[in-house]
Amino acid sequence: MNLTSSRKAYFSINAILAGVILFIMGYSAFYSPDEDKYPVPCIHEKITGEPCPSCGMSHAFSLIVRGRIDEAHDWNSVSLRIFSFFVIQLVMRVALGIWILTGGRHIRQVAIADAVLSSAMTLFAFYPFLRALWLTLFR
Amino acid sequence: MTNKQPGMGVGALVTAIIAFLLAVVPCIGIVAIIPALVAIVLAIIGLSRSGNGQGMLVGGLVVAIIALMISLSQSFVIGKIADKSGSWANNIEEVVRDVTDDLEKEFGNKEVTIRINNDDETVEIKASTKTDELKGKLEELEETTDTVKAKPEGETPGEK
Repeated sequence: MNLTSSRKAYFSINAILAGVILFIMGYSAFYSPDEDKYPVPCIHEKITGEPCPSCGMSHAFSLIVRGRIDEAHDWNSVSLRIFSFFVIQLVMRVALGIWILTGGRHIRQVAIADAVLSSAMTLFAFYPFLRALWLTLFR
Repeated sequence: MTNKQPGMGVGALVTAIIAFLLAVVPCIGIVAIIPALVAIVLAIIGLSRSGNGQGMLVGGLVVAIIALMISLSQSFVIGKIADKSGSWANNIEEVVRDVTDDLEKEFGNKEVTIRINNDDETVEIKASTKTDELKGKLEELEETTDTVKAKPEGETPGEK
């Protein structure tokens, strides 16, 4: 398939980000929430001895991919918001990838709109963490 | 953009986005310093080589700098919380000391009785914490000890 330079670049970004999101979902599906053997420790808790706002996120994601939403909320109240962000982003990356491959036009405008929308979505999804960070730094 | 630039731009932007996503998560925020620095280096190399069409490189650089700042502030937060944890320990110690002093003042000279009722049985435990009484008992015990020491060998304290 003969793609122009900018199309190729935009397609690559979409493909890599979709891969990263699929990796996160695969990680959540691979580790069982009942066994609780997650390899990534909370650095924050290790150093301070205090749990952070994102503690229990891996566990909550594993529960969400298994459809146990209520339990996931108990583990981490922000988990559903962030998982939804990843799902929407995955759909967007796949849709935009297909759109590029099928010869969609106005790629520059679409890329800018995508960047703005995705930035807003990121800020919305991770707002509780950013707020916690802000409050701890400047309280 | 030259033929080599898209690769550099894509690399910088994707690494910067990943760094940003890592940086905002408190559990692993510090780790984001590495991808953020990689993205900054990639963006700077790309910008130094390219002539025009630098959108992705600039975007990558901006996102990477923001990610680096957030990641660094996460480490400040950890330091701040660690400091607070130290002072919390001191505060807890002070609170425990205050409570102990208050309890001594409140119950130091009173008699405490604990009564446990279990169907027909009743067990009563009397614990006198009267300071004067305790002093008297202590003096009594000291006297007994002195008497035991003073008596010749072979005689037990109970023998009179």
